[in-house]
Amino acid sequence: MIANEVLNYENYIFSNYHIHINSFENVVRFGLILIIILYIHKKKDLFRKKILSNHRNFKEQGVEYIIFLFFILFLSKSLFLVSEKMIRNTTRIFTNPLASFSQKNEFKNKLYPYFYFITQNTPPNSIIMIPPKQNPWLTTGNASYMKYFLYPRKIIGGKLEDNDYSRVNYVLITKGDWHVPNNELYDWPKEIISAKKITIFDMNTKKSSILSENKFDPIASSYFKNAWGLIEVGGK
Amino acid sequence: MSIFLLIIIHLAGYLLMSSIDNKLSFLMKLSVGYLVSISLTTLFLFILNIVGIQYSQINTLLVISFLSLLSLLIISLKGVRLVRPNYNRIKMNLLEKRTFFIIAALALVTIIASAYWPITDWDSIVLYDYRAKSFANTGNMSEAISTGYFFGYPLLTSLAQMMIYQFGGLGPGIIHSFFYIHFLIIIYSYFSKKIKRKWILISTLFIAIIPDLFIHAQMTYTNLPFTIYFVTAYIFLEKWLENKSISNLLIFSILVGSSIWTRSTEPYWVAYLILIFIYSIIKKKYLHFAIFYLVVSIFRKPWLIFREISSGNPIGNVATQALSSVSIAFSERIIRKLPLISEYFYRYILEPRIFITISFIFSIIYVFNSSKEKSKFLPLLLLILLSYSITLAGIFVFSSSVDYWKEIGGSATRMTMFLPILEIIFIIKVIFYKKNSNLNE
Repeated sequence: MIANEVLNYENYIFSNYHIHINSFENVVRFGLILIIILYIHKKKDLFRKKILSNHRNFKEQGVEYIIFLFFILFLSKSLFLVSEKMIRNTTRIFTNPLASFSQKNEFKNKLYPYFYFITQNTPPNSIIMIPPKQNPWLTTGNASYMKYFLYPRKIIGGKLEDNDYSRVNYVLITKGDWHVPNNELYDWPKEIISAKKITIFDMNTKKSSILSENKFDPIASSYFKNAWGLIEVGGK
Repeated sequence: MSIFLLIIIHLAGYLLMSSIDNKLSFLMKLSVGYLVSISLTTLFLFILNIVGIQYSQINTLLVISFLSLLSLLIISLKGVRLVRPNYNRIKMNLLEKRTFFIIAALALVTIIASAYWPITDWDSIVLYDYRAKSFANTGNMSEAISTGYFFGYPLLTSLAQMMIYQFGGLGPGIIHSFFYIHFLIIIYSYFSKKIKRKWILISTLFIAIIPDLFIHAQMTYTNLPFTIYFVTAYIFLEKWLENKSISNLLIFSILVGSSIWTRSTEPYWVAYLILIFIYSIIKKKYLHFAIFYLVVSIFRKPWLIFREISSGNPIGNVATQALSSVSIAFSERIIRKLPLISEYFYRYILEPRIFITISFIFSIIYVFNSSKEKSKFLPLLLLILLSYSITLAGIFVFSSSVDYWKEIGGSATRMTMFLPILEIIFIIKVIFYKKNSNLNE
């Protein structure tokens, strides 16, 4: 079930088969613990002889049983968590053993193709302005996060409006990476910027296209609605 | 090339441990050697960088070579012969074979996952691995300092990951997988002297499947190395208390120092400081306390001084820090905050490991009711209780000084991931500990 979810999308099992993985795990775990307890009960003489100490009174043996019971509960929980992590982390490895560095990043990070597009379209010594660190740009607006993927480019955090674009070489065009209830809040930059080049990146096809416009105007042009891309600042 | 780096780190570590204590088993020297080698190499690289020597592949090689040559010199001066690995085949029964297979599979998965996956975890992206990338690329620390967050944590993991980048590796997580594997070997070696043979591998498996440990072996956070240094330090504290050997005290102190060189935000090392202090007072062995404090300071002070000079924030000494923290915590009404702090403590520290904590509490009852050798369990019990106290005090201070304290409970769970390991060791010792005559049953 977990492998199936990894290969499709988060919540795939619940959406298609209406089985909640975590709750299902609890049912299996409960069954397993029951089997262990019944087994110990059946072989109680052997259990006492081999594991418990042999000179205990009733109270001491009771304490020993409680230690064991909670230890088994802990082990069963651990086994499930470790198995889950193991399957989650290795399913992709076995199905895509020869994946490239970019592909591996993409499996784990849906924004990675966009970051890759930026690095392919900007020189390493460029200065890039990113959106403000607020909803819906909590990821693409986080300078500490972006600097890792765009390294060694310099990152400058932008404001919602009134930015000084003369300090930078490039400005990101981002729809937004977090959900907001009001559609009006999406899309940045929100002001007109004169541009040498505007490139739009399609997050679905992972392809980019250069626009012929020399001005980024978010209100006048429908190209920039829900768009991802890059503005090379400058020009007339 | 990364494999070459890992080989020379292991070799240097083995020589270092042989020079300090040649009586240790081959496996123990190799595994503890790996921990010590990583810690000393990164510390040397950091100190050299402060005096103007750049981070580079050749300088990393020189530092590792220097440590190896120094160890060889000590070994030859001491006139000790290096212990060869014991190739005598251990006869395993079916249960032991199966257990060994599961442990090996877990270890293999961590190595494969670390080598395959790029860094994707948040803290590593914004801090640990970013610093590693920047150091490897620029050869100095100025770029990483200028982009913020730099002084939050010491540099052990960042510099270790930098070494992987310097040697052309794409998966710096491999360093962390080896931490996990060597820790399991250390635990195996530790239990092999403490409990019956048939339970050694099973007990090691109990530790191997602790979810936090296994998950962090595939991440590049500081929590796993910190936990491993901290718990391994306890193992050497116990060894030292048993045989009073200065070399064990030295290894113990190096491991505590290394834990501070990994994470210095939470002062858990104070628990060890208190234990050693009490021991020194009772036994009137003040020199032991001095050795411990001196060695720990070698690891602790360079980062503190560097941070103080570079950031311009005076850090002060331990006593001043403790007093100022306590004054912050007590400046607010404790009673008013107590329910919130209790809830936080339960939710993030106790609840994620509730079963093991209950089992641990009953183990304490059992020891004090039934065991004739209570003193054998006392240092570990004190260490766990002191660590819980430090955690609680830390939450108090944190809740008074940081507004968003309730939002980052996950970090509190991560920073205390050494507690369930110590508790499991305690429980295993209580359950499986038998008199020496039965050890080989």
